[in-house]
Amino acid sequence: MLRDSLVVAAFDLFESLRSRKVIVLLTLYLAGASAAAGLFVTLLRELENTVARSLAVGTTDRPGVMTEELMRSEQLRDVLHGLVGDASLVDALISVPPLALFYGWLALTAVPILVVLTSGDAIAGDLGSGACRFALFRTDRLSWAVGKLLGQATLMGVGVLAGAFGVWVVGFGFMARFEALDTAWWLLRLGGRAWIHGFAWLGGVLAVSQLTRSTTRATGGALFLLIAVGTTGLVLQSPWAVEYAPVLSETLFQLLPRAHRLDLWRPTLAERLPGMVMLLALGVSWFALGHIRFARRDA
Amino acid sequence: MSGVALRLRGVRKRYGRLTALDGLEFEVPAGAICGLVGPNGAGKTTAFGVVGGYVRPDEGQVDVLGEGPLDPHRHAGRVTLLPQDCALNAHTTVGETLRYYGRLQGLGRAESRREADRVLDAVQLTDRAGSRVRQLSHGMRRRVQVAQAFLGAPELVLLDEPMGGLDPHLVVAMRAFFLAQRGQRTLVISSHVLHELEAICDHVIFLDKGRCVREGSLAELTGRGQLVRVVLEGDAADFLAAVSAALPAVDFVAEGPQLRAQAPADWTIPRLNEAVLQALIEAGAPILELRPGRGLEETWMADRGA
Repeated sequence: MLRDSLVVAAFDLFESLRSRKVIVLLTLYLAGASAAAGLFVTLLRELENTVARSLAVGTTDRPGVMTEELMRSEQLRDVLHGLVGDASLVDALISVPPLALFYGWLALTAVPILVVLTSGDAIAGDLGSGACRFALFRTDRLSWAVGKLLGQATLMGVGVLAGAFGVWVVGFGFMARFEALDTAWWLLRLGGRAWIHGFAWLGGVLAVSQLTRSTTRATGGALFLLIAVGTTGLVLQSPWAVEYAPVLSETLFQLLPRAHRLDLWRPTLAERLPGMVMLLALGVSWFALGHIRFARRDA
Repeated sequence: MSGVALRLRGVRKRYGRLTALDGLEFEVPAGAICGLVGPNGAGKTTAFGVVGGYVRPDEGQVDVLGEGPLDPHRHAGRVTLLPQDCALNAHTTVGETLRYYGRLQGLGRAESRREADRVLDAVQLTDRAGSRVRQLSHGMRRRVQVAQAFLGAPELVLLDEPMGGLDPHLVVAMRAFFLAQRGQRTLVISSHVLHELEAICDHVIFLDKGRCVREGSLAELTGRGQLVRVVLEGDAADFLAAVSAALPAVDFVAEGPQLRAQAPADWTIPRLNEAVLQALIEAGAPILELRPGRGLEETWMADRGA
């Protein structure tokens, strides 16, 4: 079964990477991440220059030095400790290069949307065109669907890496005291965490994709899932829910990716692991729910 | 090759109020080239889907190669299918697509490469191995789809409308390719073009309204073992009396320019041919053509009372 899934995944990845739609979306994500990083660098420069002018020292076109000094300062650390209330988390965040920190936040926010747009029709498209029928007498439905999941998960990884690369290039070109290797390492690490967060969403997106032959309905359904889960998270965290049904709201909240997002920022693997496992499990569980229906229907 | 390659028993499939298969039952002898014949909506494509496992039947049993319903792992590489109206993935190349299917049915990397080359050669598309599927014409895509069904050494191949959209010269080539499979594997071919099936098949199944209305060997169904048709120039009735008198044991029927001669049970076709031709020549009849049995189309129409 694993062999078949890997064969399907490899084919699916190459097929997707040659699709004009996916190429355009990945390019847009790369461009968007680069542009956002550019905006971040511009804001940082304005901020540093404002501070520099108020201190009557020289301004700069390549920001980063002042920010890095600021992040290393004990005073900022004390302020953040007071605000966040979690010293280890603050230490972890402060140790991350600012640009990588920014990309981590960006990827965690944007990757679910990227997944909806690139992978929403990954299974529904093959069901609609009938392409799956050339495969489904050669392998079982579960192997095929898992192969699609692995292929799309790898595609998501390509997207995350592309975005990270764009951000790194912006930092390399426009930031002073840019620690290229350290930032690249952090971009990879945070990109990996964004991938895990995205996997939970991918499971949901491909669950919807297994329910219909229509690519429009599949993408629309995935978008609806994104909005519905986001709204549910807000409702479950509302003061009303916390006051009147604390146990229920907290339990249900744990079934949403948002509940485990913060864990991805924890400094040690031991602290991050429960959140990562939960996110992967959520992805697999949502995918399995869609597959239960797919396994029984006509393909 | 002996026994039954494919057996359906009491298969029912409904789509809402529409009954696509209504207790469908038939058997395909192993090694046969079997034609699945029926009008639109007869259930041919649904039957293929049920056998292929991508349509779930509501009731009934399917037995593929005597080992129960199709199981992609148990039957890996032994059963292949050409579905109707399905598109191949558009962005990968023809060669990659075929290698992918080869790998998926259990072939190794090198073997799937060899097989892809072999089947592309068989459908005369070797030069398009590097083209993306979306760059191919409709007919070329259909040939790639046919090619994928012959990857490896399948024992049972199901082909749903394989000639659809092909140029006449390719139809001829495809017919020769299918005929070359005789004795190596069992083919089940669905088509509306009955004269095509007649040229290829040795076993025929008639479907109508989701049921098998008739099945048997081509010779049985068309009377090829005991019947000849002679086409004459002019009205065949003009020579009916003469040939009937010359061959009283043979049952003659005249229909326009066509004369049908039904032999007694103990006659062979060569004996019937010889006797009928001799009688017609002696009667001075201008003979244009002589064929064994009824046409498949004629048989089908006669069965439907048309």
